[in-house]
Amino acid sequence: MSAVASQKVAFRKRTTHALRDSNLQQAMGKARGGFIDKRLEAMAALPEFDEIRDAARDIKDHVLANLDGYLELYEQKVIENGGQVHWARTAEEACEIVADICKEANAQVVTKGKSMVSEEMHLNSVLEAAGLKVVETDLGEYIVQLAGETPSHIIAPAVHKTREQITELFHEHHSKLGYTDRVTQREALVNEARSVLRGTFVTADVGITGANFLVAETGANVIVTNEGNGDLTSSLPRVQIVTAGIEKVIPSLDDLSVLLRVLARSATGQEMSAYTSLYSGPRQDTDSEGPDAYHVVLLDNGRSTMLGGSYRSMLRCIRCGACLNHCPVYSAIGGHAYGWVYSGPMGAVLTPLLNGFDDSVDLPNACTLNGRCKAVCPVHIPLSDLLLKHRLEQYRRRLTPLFGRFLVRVWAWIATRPRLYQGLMGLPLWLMHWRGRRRGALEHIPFAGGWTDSRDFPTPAGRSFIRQWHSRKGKS
Amino acid sequence: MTEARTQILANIRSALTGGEPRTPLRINELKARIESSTPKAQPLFEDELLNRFCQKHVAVHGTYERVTAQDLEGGVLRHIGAHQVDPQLYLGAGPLLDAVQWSAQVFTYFKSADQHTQVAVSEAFAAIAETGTVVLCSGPSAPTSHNFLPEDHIVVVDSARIVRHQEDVWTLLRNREDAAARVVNLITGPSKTGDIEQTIQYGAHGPRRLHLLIVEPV
Amino acid sequence: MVQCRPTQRDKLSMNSDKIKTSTQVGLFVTCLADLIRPQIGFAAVALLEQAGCTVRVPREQTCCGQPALNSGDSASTIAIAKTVIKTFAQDDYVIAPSGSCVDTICHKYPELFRNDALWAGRARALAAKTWELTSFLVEVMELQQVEATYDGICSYHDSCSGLRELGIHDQPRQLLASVVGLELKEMNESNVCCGFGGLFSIKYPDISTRMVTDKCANVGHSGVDTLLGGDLGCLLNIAGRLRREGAPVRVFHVAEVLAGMTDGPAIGEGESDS
Repeated sequence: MSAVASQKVAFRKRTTHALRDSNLQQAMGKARGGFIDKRLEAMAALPEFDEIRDAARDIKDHVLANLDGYLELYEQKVIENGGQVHWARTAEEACEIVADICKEANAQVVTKGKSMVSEEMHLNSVLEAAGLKVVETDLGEYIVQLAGETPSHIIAPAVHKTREQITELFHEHHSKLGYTDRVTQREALVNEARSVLRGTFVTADVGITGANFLVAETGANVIVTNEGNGDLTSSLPRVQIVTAGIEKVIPSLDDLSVLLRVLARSATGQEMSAYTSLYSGPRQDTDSEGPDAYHVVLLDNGRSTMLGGSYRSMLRCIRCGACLNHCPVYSAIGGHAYGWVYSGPMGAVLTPLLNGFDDSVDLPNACTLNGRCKAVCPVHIPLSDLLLKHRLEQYRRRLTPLFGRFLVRVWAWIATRPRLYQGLMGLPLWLMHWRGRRRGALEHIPFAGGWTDSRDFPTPAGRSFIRQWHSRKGKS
Repeated sequence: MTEARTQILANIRSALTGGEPRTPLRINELKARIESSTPKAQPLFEDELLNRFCQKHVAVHGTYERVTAQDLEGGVLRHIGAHQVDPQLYLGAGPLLDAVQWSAQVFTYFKSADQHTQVAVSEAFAAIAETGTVVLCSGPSAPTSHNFLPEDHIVVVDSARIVRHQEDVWTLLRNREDAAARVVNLITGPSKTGDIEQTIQYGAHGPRRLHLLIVEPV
Repeated sequence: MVQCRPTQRDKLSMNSDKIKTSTQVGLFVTCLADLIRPQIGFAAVALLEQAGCTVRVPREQTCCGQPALNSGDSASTIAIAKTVIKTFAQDDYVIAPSGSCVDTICHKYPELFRNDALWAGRARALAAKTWELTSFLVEVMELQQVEATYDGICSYHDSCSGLRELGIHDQPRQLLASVVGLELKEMNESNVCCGFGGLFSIKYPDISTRMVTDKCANVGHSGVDTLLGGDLGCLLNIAGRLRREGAPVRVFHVAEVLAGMTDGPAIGEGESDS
């Protein structure tokens, strides 16, 4: 089976499974309204929101147009601060770099703050294969790690899990650590996770986080969290590693403030997350604590190629998750159905670009182009337009089913010949009308089971408007 | 991995400049843009700074007490007394904090926090009225672990150091005479998570409680 | 409010002299209305004439080409677009009772011809004079009220392209407010996609069904007896699901209610039901 065909089978399986998963549907239903309402409240409270959004987009566009220059300036600053910058062309290269750093440090335990780039790299499995114990510390990431799953949302990794499911996971994994009670209340679940992870934070050898931003002005990486796990991961171990896509660099601290203002509001409706932190290198003589070594691993993995084409705007993405939260398709099928680390509209745009078009044929098509994603993106990425562009690209590459393409071409050929079109439509219309006029709707249409399996199809009138109009005109 | 670096930069340049390297002039222009950077698109508000700061802090589940510089120990004791916490204080540093003559009622530690630390008392470098945020900088006597490991984090805030916008903090940092801080933490309320059923719970991994002692001039 | 390119205001200022004499419009009836529910075409004509327009219905029209475009076939779309451009070249305005078709003409056609200066110019000229029905009636013809009655409690479903690409929201509601006997109620998530998305509804039927089921639940919770909208695609989808669920809600295109043409069967209703 071709790559395209097997992708279609896999996608169909995942979406069917997701739509039937009552736990997932329950969890997604609860989450949806909250994210949407909180963002609306945050916007209503900030009259300058649109202006700030425009400024955020402009900053990102300026950086992308000068990406090489800013990366070099950023790198210079990190080195001045005593840190090291590593460049990785591919995910494999990046994993190798991180694994080597851990090996050189004789590391045994690695804590991780939430990093989508590290998921993109499949970093955990590489480190585990190298004999390291890797512990996710963001509560949502910790939950999915216990479940042996990948995150299903870029900022709420366990959004697909119900409280009951989390209770079972904790009971299963924590009993052997001495936590024998089955804990059901939210507060108690959080307390148990806090207690379980405390020891790991202080004994970890290496701490790995992502970076929301990399600031060229000071050589700092910025992490935005609410739990504090990212900071415990960054500051306690003796080696600190930051993994980030090359597009994360921004010029100055003032630019950072603009982006921070739209980030938390778009993600969770907050004005500021509980912890927004800037880390700039290993401990200095003037520090009482801190890592001995500070490493930044910059990942390309297809991003530099995106710069040159018509998809550059996708690199503006600040990973806020607003598009996921507002997408009715994502809300119906959840993140895992997308098949990779990035889901929702941003995932549907990014996955074909980073992973290849062959493996992700359904993503741009499992979309109604309703445009909500474009409307809410804090940096004005025209997501739904880019998804349509993907469809045009797929067509050019002949990735869509031949028969479907043929049908559309035939139909379009007829549609450019109105008299023929009306002539050909006459009989089927009349037949459908005759069959369904009493009931008003057809319960079954051959070859259109996709519609009629779950919906009636309103009966056509039997004679087209154009024919009726022009026969009336003829009479009068 | 300098080969990777060369190739990535070459890829970027081929996408942006048709393969031409950036001229030193252009690099200097980018540097100049950074150095002359100013705030853009800030939210405007005319609220009095202290009031706004306190209001925003409380809205994110923080608590505070307005005290004099002489009553800092009193402020600490009142907070930990209310939560029945032992007076074992891990202390940071700052002009106000350094001036406190701690009594025998408390035990003070000047070292990094560990997983058993209950209370840390820090002094903020500055505070931001816009969002109710306290700014903590790492330093020789101000360990970052104090901000994240304890159950209770008490932060002394000099009301004269409350600025209007986040960018005002950058200005203060740029003009600092001390060496640049390795870590700058912008802290807004206590630790929390919404990862279970999208409902907020406090005390995820960082401090459960963030209590401010706001010092006003007498 | 989202603006069409060029903006509604730009189009108004470009055409302001034409409003004073009887306004000439060409009706782009849309393929779905033409083939499945011609009543919408007649209702649109009635409304346009009520507002003082002379309406021409060119025979040489079939579709705006959206199904080809959304399938990625730009060549076929271009061929169809050229037909549309030629057919309506002589009209002062082109009016369609559909947000998605007008979005295609206004926003997608010029982009399709970006490498062809001549046709790009023609596409832009068409885009400048093409309007969705209710927004044209309110913003250009300045129609304040319609002569219609409808006895029922209605809710309006905001179709995605109309709302987000053309800023259609207040205009249909304004006109509906003038219908005697009609009570307008907002339903929850009126601006959330119904799951039609053209071919999406048959290519991804499970997901589409989930979305339309949620939409029908919102309709049900609103307690209305009638659902209205400006795009027949959405209405076929929603009415089809309502009928399958046995829900008694009647579905009409907003033009039908505004033109007072609701005596016959609603969308999906049989001859025996009305």
